[in-house]
Amino acid sequence: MATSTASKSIGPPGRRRGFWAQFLFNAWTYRYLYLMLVLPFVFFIIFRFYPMFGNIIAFKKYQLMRGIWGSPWVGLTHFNTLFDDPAFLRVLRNTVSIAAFKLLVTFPAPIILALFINEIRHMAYKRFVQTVVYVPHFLSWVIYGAILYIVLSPANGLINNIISAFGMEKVAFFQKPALFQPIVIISSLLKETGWAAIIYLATISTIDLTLYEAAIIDGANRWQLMRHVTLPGLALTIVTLFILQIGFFLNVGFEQIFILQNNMILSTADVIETFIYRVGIRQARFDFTTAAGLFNGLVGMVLVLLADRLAKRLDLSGIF
Amino acid sequence: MSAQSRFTRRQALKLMGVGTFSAYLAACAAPAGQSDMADSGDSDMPSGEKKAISISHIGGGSVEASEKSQRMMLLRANFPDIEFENRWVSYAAYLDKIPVQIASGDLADLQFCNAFNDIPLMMENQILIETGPLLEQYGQNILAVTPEGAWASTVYDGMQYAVTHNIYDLNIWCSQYRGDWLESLGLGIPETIDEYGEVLRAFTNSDPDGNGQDDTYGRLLYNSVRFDDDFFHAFGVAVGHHLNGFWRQRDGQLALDWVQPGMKDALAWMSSVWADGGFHPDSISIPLGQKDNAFRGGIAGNVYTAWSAVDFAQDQIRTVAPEATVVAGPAPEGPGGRGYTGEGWPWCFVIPTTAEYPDDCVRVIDWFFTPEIASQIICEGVLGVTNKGLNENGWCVEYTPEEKKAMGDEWSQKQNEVQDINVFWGLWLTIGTLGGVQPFPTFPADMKKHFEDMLAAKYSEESLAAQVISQEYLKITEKPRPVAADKEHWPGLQTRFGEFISQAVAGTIDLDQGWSEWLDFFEKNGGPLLTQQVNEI
Repeated sequence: MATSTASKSIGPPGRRRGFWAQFLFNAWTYRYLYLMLVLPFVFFIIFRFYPMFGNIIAFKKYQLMRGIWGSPWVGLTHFNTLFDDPAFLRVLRNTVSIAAFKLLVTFPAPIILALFINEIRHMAYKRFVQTVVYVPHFLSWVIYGAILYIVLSPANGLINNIISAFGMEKVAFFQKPALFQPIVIISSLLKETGWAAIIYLATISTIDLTLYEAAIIDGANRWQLMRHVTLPGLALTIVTLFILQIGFFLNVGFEQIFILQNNMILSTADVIETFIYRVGIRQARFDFTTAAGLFNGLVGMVLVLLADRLAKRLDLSGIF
Repeated sequence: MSAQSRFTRRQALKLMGVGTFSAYLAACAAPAGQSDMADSGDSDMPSGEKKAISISHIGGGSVEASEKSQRMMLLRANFPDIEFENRWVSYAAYLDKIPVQIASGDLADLQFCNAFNDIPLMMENQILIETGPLLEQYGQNILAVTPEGAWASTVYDGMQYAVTHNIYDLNIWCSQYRGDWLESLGLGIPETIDEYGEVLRAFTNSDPDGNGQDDTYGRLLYNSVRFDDDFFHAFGVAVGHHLNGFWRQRDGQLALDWVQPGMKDALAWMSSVWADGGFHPDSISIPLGQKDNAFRGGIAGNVYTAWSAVDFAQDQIRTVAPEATVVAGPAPEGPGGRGYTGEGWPWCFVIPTTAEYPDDCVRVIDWFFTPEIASQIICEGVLGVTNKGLNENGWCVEYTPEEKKAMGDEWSQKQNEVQDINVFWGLWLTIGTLGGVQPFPTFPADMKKHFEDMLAAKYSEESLAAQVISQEYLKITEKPRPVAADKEHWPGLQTRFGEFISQAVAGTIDLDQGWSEWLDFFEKNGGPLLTQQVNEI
């Protein structure tokens, strides 16, 4: 489909057009397709690109009555304040730590789950397993967080009841800073792995069956089929999703962190998103936290470009 | 034309048609938003010469429900020359909503806000008008009713910026106990901080309900340590409700309690009670706000809450423990004295510079404070549904507790019917809500007697005794209003202090080391500047 569209856009052989002439020719030829693009285009202009100009308040002392353009420039003052602020440095450390562990643990987990589910031969059981692992995704973090609080409660939570049944001392999970990040990673894993596996299962279903048949004729066992047929078939999807995910590297999940954190464990639980919410919205320091948000976005953009380049260097297709 | 382009055109037209129709349906189905309501108030609308005034207020329920409230209906009926835009804000959302309203300049003509959290930002950006002269001219009823001290938090450079402050008792909080538990354990209502600690320990460890199970607790903290001033005052310090701070005179100048040695002593005391199980182990970290529920559910034996909750709590507890009683007690006394923290009057209406009719704004609010109107709407409940309506004098009448009880299921049905109707928390709180409002001083004698009799019939003797206690031990911060350094430094200090005291109480840090680190943080992060500015007010 893409090939035929591309070849048509070149036009009849022997006729060379300039860029604008070619553009107008294509625009008229495919006017209905372009027409369909108008609404999304307008949407992106209004709701995605136009608000980006607001980022300049990161370089201004934002004054409500003077507006964004009328407020005085302050250069990199907010960035200097940000990086001199011990609270932000702690927040940055926590964010990077949670993001790195999330990427290491929660990114490969759905791939592994999809591979395993694909190996299940009993269809009814396979559907049952799929349903069970998808369901937690549909619970909001508010509900899921409440369930975690109840299950992990030091007063009468299930886990602590089991711990005390073995004669051990109960653990106040949400009062120990060292336990917060593992709880975040594990709860993410339990909640989202099933849902994230869907795209890999869909990709697996598109792998040419003759590849499996050929491998079986060559004597491949199930493990070798998975390793040498299924996994390479997933490679492109894995790289694409990895690059997309790494763009949101520092977005560790506001809702989850906000619901699970409390004053006692802020030393490991305060992240950039909760910092921006608390300082930016609640304390109305919009210019200062825009600087934090801009920093967050820049890190994401750099990581995306790096990941894309790395993927190309490894002979895997990038996204640009 | 190629097959592909014919296909594309047909598909495109179909999709566009479906999309347009869907958008049309969505637009038709969308409820009338605030902007629609705002448009209806424009002076060039068909309503003719009407003035447009927007009112942003906090309430329960919804914007639609608040439109059904008696206050809003009376307002619309009494001012036919004004088109009111009702900008309701839910209680759950105001903390986020008001700063965003300020930042976007989208303030209502009558904007409800918090004097300590919101007005400093408004003043910094010079978006409020002075209200002193307007109050003199149009707000005589407001001035006659509002306590003098309520205005202090909204004075800047000698000028007043609030239209009205909400009115309720200066203090409504007191410590309440399960009387039957105290009796079964052979304990009296604690007078001292040591006795108080023993009571908490006994409630947890001595099976006060006698069921043979380890299922009771002394008390629940309120979502970390931020609402437990009743025993902090025993050490001569207070956290301030919601970690808002508490300042008092020490050695000739105002100083923050958070850095006084008594604070460390208070935390050491709390930590020892925590270690003995006196506090519910979840309550310091779980943001469920369950302190009252646990008390009313028969799980905890002590709670620090509004005096007006005594009767309700007792009724609730009796559903699981028929012999339960609730009694209020004095603030426990310690080496630093005793006290309950009064909240002051932080909530108020202000008028931004964008308001077209500031004099009408004051006139409207003042009208609510006239005895004729106040006497119709001061009652708890919805007129004629969950209260009796107006009597022959046009004064509202509430049901007595006995009458409510006699109605049984019918009373529950009535409550369900109107539970979301609530409006204008920012004028005054109705009798019985958050502590109760005494009849206005401007009421004529017979009107005043009507409401005083109603109030007396509304509460049990235990409740009224609790009210006396809450007033007797009242202590209030001596910092009258925010200072310039608050914006930059106070939130960071709040966060760090909240973190420190939670960890200190639960014993997850060494108290001595944590205390030194906190003092160091205070010194390096604006503490001295704040102290200096507070003393310059």
